[in-house]
Amino acid sequence: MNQGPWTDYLGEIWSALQETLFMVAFAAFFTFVLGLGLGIVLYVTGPRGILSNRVIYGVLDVAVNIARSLPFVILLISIMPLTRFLVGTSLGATAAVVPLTLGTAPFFSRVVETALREVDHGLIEAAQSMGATNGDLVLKVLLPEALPSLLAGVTLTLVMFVDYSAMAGAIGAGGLGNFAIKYGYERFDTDLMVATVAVLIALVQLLQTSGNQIVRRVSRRR
Amino acid sequence: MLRVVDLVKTFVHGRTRVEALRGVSLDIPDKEIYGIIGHSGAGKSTLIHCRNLLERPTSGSVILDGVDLTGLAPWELRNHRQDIGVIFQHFHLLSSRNLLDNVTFPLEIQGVARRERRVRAMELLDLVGLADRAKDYPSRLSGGQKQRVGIARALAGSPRVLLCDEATSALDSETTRAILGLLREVNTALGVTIVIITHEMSVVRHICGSAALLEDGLVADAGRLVDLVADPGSRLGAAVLPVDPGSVPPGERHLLLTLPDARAGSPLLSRIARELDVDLTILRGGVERIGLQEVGRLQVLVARAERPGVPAGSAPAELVTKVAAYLSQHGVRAEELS
Repeated sequence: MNQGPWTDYLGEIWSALQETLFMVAFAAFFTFVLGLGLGIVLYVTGPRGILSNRVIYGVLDVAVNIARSLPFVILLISIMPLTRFLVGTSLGATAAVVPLTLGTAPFFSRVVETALREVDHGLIEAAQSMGATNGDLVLKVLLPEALPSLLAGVTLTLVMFVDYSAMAGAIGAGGLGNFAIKYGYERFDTDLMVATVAVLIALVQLLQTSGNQIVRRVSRRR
Repeated sequence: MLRVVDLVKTFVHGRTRVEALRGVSLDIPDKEIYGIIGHSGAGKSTLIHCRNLLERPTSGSVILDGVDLTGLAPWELRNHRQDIGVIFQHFHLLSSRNLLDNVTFPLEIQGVARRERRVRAMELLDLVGLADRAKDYPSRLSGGQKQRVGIARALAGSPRVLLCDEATSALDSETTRAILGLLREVNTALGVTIVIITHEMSVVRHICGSAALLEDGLVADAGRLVDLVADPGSRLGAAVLPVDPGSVPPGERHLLLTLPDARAGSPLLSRIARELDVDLTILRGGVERIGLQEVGRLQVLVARAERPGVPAGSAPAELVTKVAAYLSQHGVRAEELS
């Protein structure tokens, strides 16, 4: 079963790339919203947080750890009923958004928690002594001060998405991962697999480089 | 008037209880520059935390102009916070904001309109001499400049009290002097009461009108510096103006004089010499600037003056007593050394 040169498949690679980007974009959006919220709650209820609460923190802490210790492939399969309930199907790129979000949001929440912890506690005391509310502290002190680390964490998470979306591709979510497995692995077409991997490498490079650029630009202004 | 009444703060960590403050009372008059000095562990940090009520004291109260801040609900307290500005050892400027936006920060969270707070912030940056750097970010400033921004920010809410928490401890001596000069300027120009918490005696000596010595969570000594240095029993006084009397050779009588106002006090010496017929020889001593006053401390040899037919000689005890009495009548402390 021999095919033509890999250039014949450019159209398909392109649409696979689009699927990957679709998955990454949507899952990233939900992950960043969820993870940011969860990360802020983890930080403020944490041991040195401004609303330190042992019970809430303890529960969230364990929940996040459990979610993070599940291998992604297992998560992918085990939450299929939930996925079907949320988006109506457990197949395709749209369906992959659900496990991708649930798989990375806990990770991103840790990224946020760590970034916020790095903010000098003295700044919080200073703001409190000026009469800052907890909302002020989060919005005007913690998040702006942690912005460079947060953005670095966003880059890290985006790259992880590309990786995970390829894995989701393996169970029928489409995208570059699916493509690489279908043609490259199952049909032993090394050229095609290399081409797909090259696209993935380029994508990761692009994300990482532009992420670094943005972080540098933000840091230089302070 | 800022009053601290019988402030107690006890920390409990599991089984161990740490009594950081064991009943501290202070009266800090308006427009005073008041120093609170102590070694680390004496309770200074706890005091400042309780003072601006980031921590609730275990008991006791902090009363600013008749309002008991310790009795306020959190939201009421928030409105009173702008009455007390704070500057910090490590400045605590927001690295994400330029200088102007750092100074507007307290006004922003108090809900002052944007235009108004920017005008106010520019005035203050001008006061601290950094108006031309308004758009710069804190990372580009030296320590002294950062502290100037800290002062501008602390003054933004027009506080009645400026609390300085080891504000010069991270600065070199020259910068320290410049910052203290600025604080004094702020004190006179705006009439803000300044409370300086420090472990550096030189800071107290340089700028404070009054001071308290904090030790083991208690006030060990307190008062106006000029009174403290004149009091031989005062440990704070001795620390501000160290006494180091030389030895007294047998047959000589020495007095240690403390002149709270050296300029006014010095002519006294020649007057005494004339009126009481004694010779006063200054053996050692000096004049130090303490706060806004020149305080002198002199060790003098008292001798009977030469009279026709009678050579100069050692002064009898009653003459020394007379000299000492004369001096203390005129506000100069005199004690005989042995």
